[in-house]
Amino acid sequence: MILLVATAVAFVLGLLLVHSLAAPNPLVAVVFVGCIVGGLALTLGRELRGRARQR
Amino acid sequence: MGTQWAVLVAAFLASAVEFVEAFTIVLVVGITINWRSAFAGTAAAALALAALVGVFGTALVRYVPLEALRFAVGVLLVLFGLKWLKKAILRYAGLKAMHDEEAIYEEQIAEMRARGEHHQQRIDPFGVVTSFKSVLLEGLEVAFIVITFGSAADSIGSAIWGALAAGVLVVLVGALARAPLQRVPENTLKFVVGIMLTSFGTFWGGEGIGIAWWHEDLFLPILVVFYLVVTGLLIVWLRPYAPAKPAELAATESAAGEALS
Repeated sequence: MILLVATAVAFVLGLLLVHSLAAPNPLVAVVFVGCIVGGLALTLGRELRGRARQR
Repeated sequence: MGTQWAVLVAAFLASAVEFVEAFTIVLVVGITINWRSAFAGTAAAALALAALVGVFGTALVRYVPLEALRFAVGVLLVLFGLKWLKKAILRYAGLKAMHDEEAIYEEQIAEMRARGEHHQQRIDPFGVVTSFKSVLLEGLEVAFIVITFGSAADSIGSAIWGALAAGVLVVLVGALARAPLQRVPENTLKFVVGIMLTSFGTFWGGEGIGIAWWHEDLFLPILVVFYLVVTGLLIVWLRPYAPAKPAELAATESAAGEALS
C-alpha cells in the first residue's frame, strides 16, 4: 500500500510541478525520484516494527 | 542502439525469472503425473498467451499516444520494480528467507502425492490445468514485461528476442538437468531485475510527466547506479536488525555464560 501511495504521490506531484507550477526541471526530477526512494525506505522501515537491533 | 540492447537484456533477465518459476511447476506435473499432461497444459497456455499479446499488444502500440503509454508504463514498472526490490533487499538484509526453488519443488511434489496424484499414462485434467495455470500466469508477466519495455522504448522486437532467449535457455538447461534449477541465483536475478524495472520506470515515467532527463538516454545508467547505491545503503541500515544465525547465537550464549560465571 505504501509503495502504491508513494508512486502515486511521485507522479501526481511531478505532473503538478511541471504543468501547473512550471517548476525548474532539476527540482521536479529531485522531488519525483525522492518520493519513489522515500516510499521504498518507508515500507522497509515498517518491516522493522517489533524488531530489536541485534548487532 | 544502446537502448535496444538495454531493453533486450532487461527483458531477458526479467523473463528468465518468470520462466524458472513456471518450469518448476511443469516439472512437478511431469514427474508426478506424466509429461503428456504437462506439455498439453503448457501448449494451451502458450496459445492463449499468443492470442492475448497479439490482440492487446498490437492495440496498445497502434492506438495509444506514446507520452500516455510512457506515463502508464512508468507507473507500472516503478510499482513492480519497487515490489521486487523490497523483497530482494529484505532477503539480502537477512530479514526474509531466501527464495528456495528446490523447497518449492519438494512442497509441490508432496502436495500432489497427498492429493493421490500418481504417475499414469493418460492425459490427466488436473495435470493439464496445473501446467496451464502456472505457464499462463508466469507467461502473462513475461508478456507484460515485453509489451511495457518494448512499447515505451519503441523496441518491441528487442524485448521479444530477450524473452524468447530466456525461455529457450531455461527450457534447455531444465531439460538437461531434469531438476529444479536450484543453481540459478534467483534472488540475485530478482534484485537486478528490480533495479532495472525501477530505473526504466523512473526514466520513462519521468518523460511521461514532462521531465527532460540530463543527456536523455545516457541518464538511464546514472539512474541504475543511483538505485544500486540507495539499495546498498538500505541493506546496510537493515542488516543489524536481522535475527542472529544459529552459529552466532551459540557464540553469543557462550559469551554471556562466561560473563555471568
